[in-house]
Amino acid sequence: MTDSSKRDMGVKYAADRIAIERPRLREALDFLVDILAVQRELAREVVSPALEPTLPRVREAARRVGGGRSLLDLVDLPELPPSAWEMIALKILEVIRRHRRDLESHVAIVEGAIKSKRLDIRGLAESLLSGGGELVERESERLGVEAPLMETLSLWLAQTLLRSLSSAIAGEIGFEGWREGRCPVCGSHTRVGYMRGEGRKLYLKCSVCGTEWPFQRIKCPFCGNEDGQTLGFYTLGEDRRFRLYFCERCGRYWKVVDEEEAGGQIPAELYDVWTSHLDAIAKRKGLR
Amino acid sequence: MEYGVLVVVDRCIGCRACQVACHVWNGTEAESTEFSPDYTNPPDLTSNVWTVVRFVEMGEGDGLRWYFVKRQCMHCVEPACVAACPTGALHKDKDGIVLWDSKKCIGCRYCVEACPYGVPHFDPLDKTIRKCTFCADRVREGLEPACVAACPTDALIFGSLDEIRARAEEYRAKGHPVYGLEEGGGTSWIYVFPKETAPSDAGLPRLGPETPRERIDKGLLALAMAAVAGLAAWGVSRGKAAPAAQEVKVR
Amino acid sequence: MVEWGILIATYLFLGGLAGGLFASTAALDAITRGGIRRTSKLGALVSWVSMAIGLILLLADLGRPEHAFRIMLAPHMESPMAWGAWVIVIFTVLGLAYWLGLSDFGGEPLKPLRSALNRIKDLLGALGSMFGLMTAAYTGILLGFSRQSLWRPWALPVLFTVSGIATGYAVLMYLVHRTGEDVGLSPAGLSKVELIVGVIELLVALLYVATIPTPARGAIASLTSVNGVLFWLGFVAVGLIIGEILLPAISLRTPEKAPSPALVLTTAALVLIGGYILRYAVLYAGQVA
Repeated sequence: MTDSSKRDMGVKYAADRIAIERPRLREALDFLVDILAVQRELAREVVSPALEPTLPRVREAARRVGGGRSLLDLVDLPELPPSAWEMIALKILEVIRRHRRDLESHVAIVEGAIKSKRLDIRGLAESLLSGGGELVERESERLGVEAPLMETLSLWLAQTLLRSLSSAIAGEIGFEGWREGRCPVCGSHTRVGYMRGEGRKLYLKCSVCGTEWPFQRIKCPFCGNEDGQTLGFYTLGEDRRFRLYFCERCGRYWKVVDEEEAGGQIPAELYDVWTSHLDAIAKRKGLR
Repeated sequence: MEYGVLVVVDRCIGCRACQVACHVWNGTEAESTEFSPDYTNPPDLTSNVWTVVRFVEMGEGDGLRWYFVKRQCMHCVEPACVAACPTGALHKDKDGIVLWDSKKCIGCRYCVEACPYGVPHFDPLDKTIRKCTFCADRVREGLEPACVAACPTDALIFGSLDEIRARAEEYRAKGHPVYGLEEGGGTSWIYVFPKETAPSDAGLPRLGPETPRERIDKGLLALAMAAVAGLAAWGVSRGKAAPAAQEVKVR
Repeated sequence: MVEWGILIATYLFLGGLAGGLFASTAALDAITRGGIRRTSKLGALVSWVSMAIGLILLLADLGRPEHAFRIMLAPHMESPMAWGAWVIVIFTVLGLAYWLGLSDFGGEPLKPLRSALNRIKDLLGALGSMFGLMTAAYTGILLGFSRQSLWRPWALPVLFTVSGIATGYAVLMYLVHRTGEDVGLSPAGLSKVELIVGVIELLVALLYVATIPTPARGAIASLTSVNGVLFWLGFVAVGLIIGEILLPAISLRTPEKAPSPALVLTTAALVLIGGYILRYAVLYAGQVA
């Protein structure tokens, strides 16, 4: 067995562990495990080789990350050949088809559009980063498919490229100069983190590209509030594995896994789903 | 309901995904191994290796070919390890799974000597025995054992023991050698071998139908005979005691 | 892989010795109607100390000796090891009581206890002989409940029991010699018993080897293996044929004369060495076969 298939197996069994605890997450977990495996495979087979020539430039930029400027603020998103984008999009659609039989007709339309080159795949991926949802909206209207499908597709497209990029420059970024709640690589906001080690040092994990960076424990990743009086967290009774942090100033919340309590059996890429029950609690408490 | 697994030897391609799956799920550390003349790797089960695919060679020269026989705890219907365990640390649960309670294990290793399949191993760090758990923490939650879930060729079929036994009988009726229906009282993991092979060539022991319980009864009989011999030896000596000593005094 | 090593080999030997020595001592004591108090006392003491050392070795071999109490307090009684542990503990208590009844241990304060024990000496002797031979046999039965083909023949517990009697008897002969007490039997009679035990043991040893299944037999029957050499030379030739048959036969040639100190000591030494080698060779060969 290859190391990557061992890794996929590790994620799959970690998902089983979560599902044993919370059976309602079974389908979501299976979906996630599948997409993660496909994204890793695409990163290995398609994205990494295509990124190779741009790496020196990206690495050089990575060392300059800081002062509020993320990697993608300093350098353009690397180019991928259209054939690569097409393969990525088709593979992702296959996964969606496997897990969402109900969307079959919509998936088929998008697939047709990709194969006949009538869809701007790169544009979709970039639209996620630029924050403008207009392209997604326009394209779904044009093709007559559900907008959430197009949104998901564009997220996973961007993710495939960004995850590959993030792991390619892992170790190059000096995190000392990065005190933001935004991702130092792709600039996205995240609400997932974990505490590791005896000192329970806090790290945030980007839900888009997977980058992990250290973050101040008493600080809101959204508004930068450092006032301990207006920051706090909830735990779930005896279960000390998860903390639901909140900022009273901006009303936002973020979720932190205490690895000292939780053990190391679940990989961080599943933390967002693993802590999904905290989202419901946050919602009830009026946090956003 | 008791669980069972059918191992269809013919379908195994020797990919060892089951071995990796076992380590991943159970968090057991992989052993570092050395070069060895056969392809079975690691060469044997250990306290950290709970399953291993045995690479069995058949024929020679150009006719040489392999077949692959996965080893793990057989979860015997009447487990010798459970019978041997003096503290009840090893036990067979209602669902047929043979588990151990490390709090009760005293580290005597009698199970290691008793198991006909060489399954339980003593862990020198934990000071307790360890072995395949049938992934009790998965199957009791409705999942397949990790190795079964990882098998890409469906060489491992998980189900109720009754169903597995019935399928094994079907294979046997078609002329396949089957292992685990009767041996030592039967096992929960039952093997179907290719027609031209024999379970003993794959290292599975030739066991008669004698169950551990029956053998222990014979041991108790031997013990009783020793007791009788001890008592008799003393009694005969007592009977032979010359009354002379006292008589001499009188005289 | 050798799971049970030198500690267990020594324990198997000491268990057999203790059981055989107690049974021999109690029998001789019964024949003489308690006329060999010093010999009996010594025999019981050596037997008890052997068993105690054996128990300590047994504990030392456990992965978690601090949990050993579970065998006694919460045993799984189906296990031969669980009933064996009970047999040994009862034997140890009986042996201690038997010795105490004969001794002066504890001075005045313990006197009532000692005389009470002395009054039930017959009962203790009978029960002790019973549990002594059960202990000796158990060391073989323990090995018999295993996957090792070398340990499974039913002749093995018999062989271990007879060997236990032979080693115990050899030690008793040495003790009789040391105390110089009159056992009421002629020296020839004593040697004859030894010879008979030796011949029986030889037959049982051959029966044992003959009943090992063929693929495994070589591990102990073939002189190409270390354990085979130990078994045939150390146990059969030196311990059995020389120690238990030839030397007693030599003593028998001069029936009226007590054997020389050197002969008594040599005999005991050879029989003990042979008995130890038997346990060692069988235990190790069984695990590599």
